[in-house]
Amino acid sequence: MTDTSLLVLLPFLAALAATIHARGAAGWGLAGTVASAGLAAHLALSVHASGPASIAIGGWAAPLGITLRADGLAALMIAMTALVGLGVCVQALAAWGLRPTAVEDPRRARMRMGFWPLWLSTLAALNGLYLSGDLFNLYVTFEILGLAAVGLTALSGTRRALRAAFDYLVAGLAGSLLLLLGVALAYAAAGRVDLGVLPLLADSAAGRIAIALIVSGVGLKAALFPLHFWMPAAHSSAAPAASAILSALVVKGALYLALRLLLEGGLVADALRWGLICLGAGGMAWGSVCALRADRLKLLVAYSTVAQIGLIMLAISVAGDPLTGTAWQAAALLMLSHALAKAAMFLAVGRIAEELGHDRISGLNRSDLRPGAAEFAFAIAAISLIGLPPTAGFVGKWVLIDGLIGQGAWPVVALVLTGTVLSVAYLSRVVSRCLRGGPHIAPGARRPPWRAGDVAAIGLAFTALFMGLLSAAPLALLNGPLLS
Amino acid sequence: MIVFDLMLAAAILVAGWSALSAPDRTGAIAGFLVFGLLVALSWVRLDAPDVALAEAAIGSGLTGALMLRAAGRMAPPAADRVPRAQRAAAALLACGLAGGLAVAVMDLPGATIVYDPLVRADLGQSGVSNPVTAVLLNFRAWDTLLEMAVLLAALVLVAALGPRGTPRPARLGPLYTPFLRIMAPLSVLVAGHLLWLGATAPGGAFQAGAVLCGGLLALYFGGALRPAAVPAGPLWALCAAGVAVFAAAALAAEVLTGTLLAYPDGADKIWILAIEGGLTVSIGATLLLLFTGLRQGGARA
Amino acid sequence: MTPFPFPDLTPQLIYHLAGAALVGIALYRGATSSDLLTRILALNVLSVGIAAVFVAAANRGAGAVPDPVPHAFVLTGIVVLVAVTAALLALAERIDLTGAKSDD
Repeated sequence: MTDTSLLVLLPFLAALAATIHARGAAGWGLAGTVASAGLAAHLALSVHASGPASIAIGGWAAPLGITLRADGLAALMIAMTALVGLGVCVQALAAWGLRPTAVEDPRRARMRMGFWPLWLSTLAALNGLYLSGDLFNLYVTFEILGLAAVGLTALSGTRRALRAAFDYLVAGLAGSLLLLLGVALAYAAAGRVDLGVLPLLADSAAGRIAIALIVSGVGLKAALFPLHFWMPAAHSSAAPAASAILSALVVKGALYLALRLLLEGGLVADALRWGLICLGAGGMAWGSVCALRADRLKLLVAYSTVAQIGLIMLAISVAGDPLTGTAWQAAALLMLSHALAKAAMFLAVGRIAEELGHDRISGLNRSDLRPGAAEFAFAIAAISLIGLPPTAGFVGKWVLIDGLIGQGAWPVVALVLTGTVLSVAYLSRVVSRCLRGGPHIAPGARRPPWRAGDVAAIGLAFTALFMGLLSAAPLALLNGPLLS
Repeated sequence: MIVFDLMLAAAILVAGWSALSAPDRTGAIAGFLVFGLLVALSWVRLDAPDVALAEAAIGSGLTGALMLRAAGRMAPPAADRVPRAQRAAAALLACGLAGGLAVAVMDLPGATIVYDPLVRADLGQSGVSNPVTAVLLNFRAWDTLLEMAVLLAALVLVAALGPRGTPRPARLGPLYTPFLRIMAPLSVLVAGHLLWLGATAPGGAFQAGAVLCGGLLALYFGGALRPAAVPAGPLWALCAAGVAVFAAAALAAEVLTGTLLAYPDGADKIWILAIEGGLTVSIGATLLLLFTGLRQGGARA
Repeated sequence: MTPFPFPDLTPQLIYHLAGAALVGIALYRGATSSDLLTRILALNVLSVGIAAVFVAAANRGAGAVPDPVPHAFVLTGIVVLVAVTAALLALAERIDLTGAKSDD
C-alpha cells in the first residue's frame, strides 16, 4: 500500500510546484490531477481485489499514532473525487488555458495561477480526509480543505464573491472549531481521539455532548439545513469550475465524516438520529422551495444542493445498524451520483451564462438561439439528480427506499418521494425553458458552437447517466469489509 | 493557590469579554493582547510550558500584530445593529452550549488514561526526550505535515486575493537601526536555541519559527527588509522548503524502512532536527509573508 | 480549605469551566456582532476556550506529569488558527477596500 500516502502527498507537492513555478501552474495541475486519478484507480482495484488495508504512519499504532485506512467506502470516495476532478480540469483548461500567451488578459492569467494550487490543495485535503482514521487529524484536513475552498470562492475577485468567501470561511472555521471542541471533550471523556473512541462516547454525558458537538460541526460544514445560510452565496458566486468543485466535492467531505461516524458506531443515540432525520427532511423542503423561487440559475443549482444534502443526511440517519443492514450504502451511492450530476450541472450553467451574458432563469427562453450542448448536459444531469433510471441517482434512491420499506418506515418513504417530485418541479423550470424552441426561433437562429468546455459537462453528465448501469462496481467496493 | 487560579480565570474572562465588546478597534485589540498573555500564564499554571510559549508568541503576539495591521487599513466599525430576537437567540444558544460544557466537565468519568503509558513506553525510541516534540515530529508527525499544508494553503489564499497596496513602513527614526542590529541577530540565535532545546525541553520548530518571524518583522518595520522588492518565486520556494523537506523525508523513510515517516533506527534525532530546521525557516518566512502579503509566483512586480 | 459550593475545586476544574465560559462568550459575540474584525476575534477566543478543555484535561493534578498529546494538539491548533486568521483578515481588508470603492 505504498501508494496510499501518495494520494495525499502527490497532489500537495504538485500544488507547491504550481505555486512556485506559476507560469506552468496548469501543467503541474494537470499532471497532479491525472497522476492522482491513476493512484485512485489503483487503490480502488487493489481494495476490490485484496480487501481493505491500513497503514500505521511512522509505525506507531492507533490510538497514539495516526492510521491511514483504505476500505471500500474510502476508495469509492477517492475515485469519485478523481473522476469529477478530471472533468473539472478539462473545463479549467478550456477556460484559462494551459500556458501563458504572449498577450494575455490579466484576469485569465490570475485565474489560472490561482485556480490550480487551490484545486490541488483541495484534492490532497479530500484524499487525506477520506483516508484518515483519527479525529484530530480529520480536523487538520478540514482546515486545509476549508482554506482551499474559500480561495476557490474568492478567485473571481468580485465584491459579492469576497463577501461570500468571508462568510464561508467564518462558517467553515466555526464548524471545524465545533468539531475540535467535540474532539477535546471526547479526549476529556475517554482519553483518546482516534475513530475507535466513538463507541466509547455513548457511555458518559460528556461523551454524548462530544458526539453532538462533532455532529453539529459536521452539519455546519456540510451546509445541513438550517446551517446552510453561508452556502448558496458561496457556491453561486464562484467561477464555474470552482462552483463545481465546491458543490460536488467539498461538501462531500463533511457528509463522508457523518457516514463514518455512523459506521464507527458514533450515531447510536435515537434523539440524535431523529434530529438528523428532521433536519434532512427540512433541508429537502427548504432547499426545494428556495430553488423553486430562485431567479438566477446558479442560485437554483446551489439551493438544489441544499435539498440533496438533506436527502443524503436523511439516508445516513435512517440507515439503521450498519453491521447488519446495507441501507447506509444508499448514502454513499447518492453522494456519488450527486457529485457527478452537480459538477456537470455547474459546468453547464457556467457555459450557459457565458453564452447569454447572464444567468436569469426568466431569460433562458431565448428566441434567437437554439439550445446547445450545455443545455443538453444540464438536462441529462437533471435526470440523474431526479433519480430516473438508469442513472446512479436512481440506484441510490432504490437502495434507500428498499431499505426503508424493509424497516416499515413508510412516512420516510413518502418524504423521499415528495423530495423527488419537488426536484422534478424546480429542475423543469430550467429544462422546459431551454427546450421551448419551435415557433419562437427567429430566422437565422443557430446553435452555439461546440467548445472544449462543453466536453467536461457532457462527459460528467453521461457518466452520471450510465453510472446506474455500472453500479455493480461501486456496490462491489461497498460490499467489501469495512475497517472499524 | 486556588485563589490565584480563580482570580486568573476571572481576569481571563473579563479580558476576553472586553476584547469582544470594546466599541473601538484599538481597545478590542488591546483587550485581546492582555487576554492572550493571561491565557499563556494559565497554561504555565497547568504545566503546559510549550503551549504557553506558542500562545504568547503566535496566538497573542503575531495574531495581535495581524489584527493591528487590519485595524489600520479598515474603516472604523459601525455600531452593531442586530435585531433583538437574534441577540436573544444567540444568548440562549451560547448559554446552552456553555452550560452543557460545564455540566460535561463537572461530570467527567474517572480519568481514562490512554496516551501517557504509550508515550512513556515509546519515548526512548522517538529520538528526543521532550514528549511534546516526540508527539509532534514522530508519533503524530502526519498531523504536523498537514499543519504545514494549512499554513501554505493560507498563504496561497492570501496571494490569490491579489495585492493590497502594502505601503512601505515608515522609517522609525535613528534609534531604530542600532536596535535592529541587536534584535535581528538575537532573534536568529534565540530561534536556533529554541530549536535545539526543543529536543529535550519546552521549545521546538514552531516557537523557533515564531521568534524568527519576530526578528524578520522588526527588520520589515525598520525598512531593512522589503519582500515586495524580491521576486515572488524564491520567496515561495523559501516557504515551501520546510514542508517539501518534510514530505521528502516522509517518503525517503518509507523507502529506507518500508513505513511512511518511520525514521531509521538510531537516527531519529538527526532526522527530526533536520526536518525541524527546514520547518523553522519556512514557518518564519510564511508567518512574515502572511503579514506582509505576497504576489502569486509568476506575477510581475 | 475548599471553597463552597464545590467540594473539590481543582485548578483543572477552574480552567475547564473558564474554557466553557469562553466558548459561550465567543459564540454570543460571534453571532451578534456585525463587525468583521470582532467576529474574527470571537473565533480566536473560541479556540482558546477549546484549548482550555484540552490542556485542563491533560493535567493530572499537582506534581504529576501532564499528558503531552493534547499539548501537541493545542500547539497545532494555535498555528492552524493564526494561518486561518491571516486569511480571514486579508479577506476582510479586501472587502473593506472594495466597499470603499463602490461607495465612491
